[in-house]
Amino acid sequence: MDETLIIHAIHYGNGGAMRASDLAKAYNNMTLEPLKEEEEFKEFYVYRPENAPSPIEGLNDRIRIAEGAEKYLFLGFRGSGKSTELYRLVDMIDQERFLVVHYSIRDELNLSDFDFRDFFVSMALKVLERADDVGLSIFQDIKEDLHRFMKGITMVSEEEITTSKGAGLSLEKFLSLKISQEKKTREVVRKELEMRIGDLLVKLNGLIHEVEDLSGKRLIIVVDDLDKLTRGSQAEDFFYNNYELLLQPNCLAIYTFPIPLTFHPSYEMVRQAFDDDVLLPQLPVKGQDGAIKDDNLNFYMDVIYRRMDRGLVDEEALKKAILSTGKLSEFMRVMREACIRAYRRRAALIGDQDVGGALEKFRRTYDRTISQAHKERLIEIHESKEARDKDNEDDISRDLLFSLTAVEYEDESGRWCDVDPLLLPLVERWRSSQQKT
Amino acid sequence: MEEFAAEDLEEIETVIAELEISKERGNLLICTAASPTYRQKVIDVIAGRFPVRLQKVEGGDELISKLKEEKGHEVLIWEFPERLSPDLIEALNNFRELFYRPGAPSLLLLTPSALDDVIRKAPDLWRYCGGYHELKGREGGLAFQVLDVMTTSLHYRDKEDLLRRKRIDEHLLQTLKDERERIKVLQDLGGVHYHLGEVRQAIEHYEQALEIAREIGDRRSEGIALGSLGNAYAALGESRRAIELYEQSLAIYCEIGDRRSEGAALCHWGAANAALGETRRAIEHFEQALEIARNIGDKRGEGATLGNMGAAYADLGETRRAIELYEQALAIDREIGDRRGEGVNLSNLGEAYAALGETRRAIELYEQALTIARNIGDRMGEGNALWNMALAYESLGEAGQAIESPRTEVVRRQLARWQEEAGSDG
Repeated sequence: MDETLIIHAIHYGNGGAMRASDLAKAYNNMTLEPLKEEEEFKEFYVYRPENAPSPIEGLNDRIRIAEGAEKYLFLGFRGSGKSTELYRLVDMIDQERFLVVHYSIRDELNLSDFDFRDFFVSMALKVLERADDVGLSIFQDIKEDLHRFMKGITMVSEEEITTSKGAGLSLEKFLSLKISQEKKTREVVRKELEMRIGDLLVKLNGLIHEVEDLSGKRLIIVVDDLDKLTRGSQAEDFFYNNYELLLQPNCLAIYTFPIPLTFHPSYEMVRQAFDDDVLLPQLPVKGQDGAIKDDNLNFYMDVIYRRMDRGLVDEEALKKAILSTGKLSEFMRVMREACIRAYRRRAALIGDQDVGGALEKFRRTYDRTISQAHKERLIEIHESKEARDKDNEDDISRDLLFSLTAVEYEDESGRWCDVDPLLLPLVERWRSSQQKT
Repeated sequence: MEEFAAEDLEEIETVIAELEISKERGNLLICTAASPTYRQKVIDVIAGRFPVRLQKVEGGDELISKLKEEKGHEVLIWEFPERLSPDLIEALNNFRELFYRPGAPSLLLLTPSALDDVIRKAPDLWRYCGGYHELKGREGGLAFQVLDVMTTSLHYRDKEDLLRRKRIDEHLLQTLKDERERIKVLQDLGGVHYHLGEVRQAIEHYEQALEIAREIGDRRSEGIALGSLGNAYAALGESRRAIELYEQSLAIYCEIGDRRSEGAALCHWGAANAALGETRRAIEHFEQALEIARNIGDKRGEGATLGNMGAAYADLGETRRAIELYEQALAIDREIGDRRGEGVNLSNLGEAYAALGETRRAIELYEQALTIARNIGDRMGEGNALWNMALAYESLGEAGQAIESPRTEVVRRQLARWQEEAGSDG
């Protein structure tokens, strides 16, 4: 069996990872959060089918043989398991040869108000923090120079630093908190770095060299959740106007990348600047010709069977949920809704009526909220199996991919797009309505 | 629980069950209701079951800091404004995992409009939430007003106008010998009775017109009389009978190639389908009517059909689609100067926004509808607008703001009086 694991986005609160033996526990086992801990992996992982292995294995191989400061983009639809794949990658990387700095910008920065200057300040702080964690004695002048620089651009007072130190916060953690939580600090940083971003990058690269030299390992920076910058000028400014800066750190780096932006005409230019763009594809349960892919169907079934006893769900109902959703996050939501329905009617197991009711509820909601223009584009996507915006002004396809009402798949026949399977029963109706009006 | 609409009870109980089984583990549930008072009822019921902490949030930074500070309550209920600001949407999307951090389930109370924003613009939150529940609410405004495309339209200022016209028609009938002219006057008199609410008398006159039309072989007049009878029976709630009559009139219009009347018959047929709850069938008929109106450049028919189609989509709960159609209808009404249609569509548009929880916006639209209704002397339109405004203010907990009628009950009585004045015999 392929040793590659796909890690599903499952969170189980305070209760520990354990297969559910009743519907209440099953409900709680079906919430969404990346897996991190060994116990979680052991209980809930499901191997990807052999015909669609995780790209993470290959990426690990690339890293192992890389000679330069290679840069990779890591792409995947939300809920497809990217974060957990990155945890997996970090676990796979040879710790004897590499020192990994792995963090989520969600934890370090303010995703709602974010730009490339905050990003590189945060990166330098994370490298410093990691060096401290592994006990490296960074050359005092390098450390002091960076500290002075950081204090200068954030304009923090010595008094604030002393207070935070008293509260047990390192300077790096304190500055990071200030940037993520204080709008004013972010404004100051951006103003100060307006003309000095090059200066910061020089200092960052000096630090990287020092860390690699002292540790005897190659540094690799893995930044998760950058794909959450999915909308409007913020994401485009970061990835399209400033992508060359992402190539500047003189070490290996992996950046998650928002998949809807790959449908932007500028993507080709960005992609070529990086060493590779690695896609974690959605596993289709049906091929382009509509034939069911049994391996993938079994994969989704196992996701549920890992989380609850088989006796808690009718097999046909489960298949129906899978074939009607065809992507992990939505499938899990439908199953969770079906689970509470079964629980409420005091049933012994999740049955067809529960899954059917859940599917219908989601369909009704989508049908109500999707605008006419979006419906028309979805019809086009369903017919052509492609999702492309017509020009830079047109962002309908990106919107649809962003909201996952259109989905991109990949299998042995290549990549294609289609309407979210949940919406397929509605497409015919929209089409006949379109013809009449 | 008796304060909830019967169809919402199951949803409320499911919310409670979800909170119960996830109370020490964390959860993120969404519940929508259009009316603020109804949302308050949800809070009251849940607070009666669990120790609850209520958080009101207006902006993104406020949400983030409250989420980061929050810990140790059994159930957290989050209240949001009618429309979510961009920064609040981003904060919801980007910090959604913090709702799990306190280890207690969170319930987000939203308007339907805010839920639409979440689905479109905060997909991470949407994907991440455990369950969502859309409550219908106990009372809405008046049902949408059907826009008629009657083949003979009557214009009148007030009841006195109608009564005068009735006297004239009755006088003419005493002396008129020409059968074709008699048909026209009988049709007109039937219309007067119809608008006076004297539907049974209207039917008698239409039947006389029909009889003469058949005697002299006037197919067009026969079709008109059948269509008018259909309208009258529809007004009496006899929608099946109305449909039979529309079918007959439609066959005649097709035969004589009267495309405009064919469209009108299809539109009325659709309205009868809608009244029977056959909304999809209604939409099919409206679509056919719309195609005809557009082909022959019948702007009035197009506007009326779009408005009725909007109402049908509203009935299906597809409020956004309804809004698009009302707006198209409104643009046509303004283009051709159809003030009554404009008022009706403004009122219906208000209803749609009220259904989305955008109550203030709804009130603005009712106010515009009210002004038009008063300008053109449309008393029913005026009553509808006042009634809807009173309900909207009541749902905001500001019943005293309702124009001219501080309490809903007063408006209700006023409306009943107008209906009585209109002389309903149905």
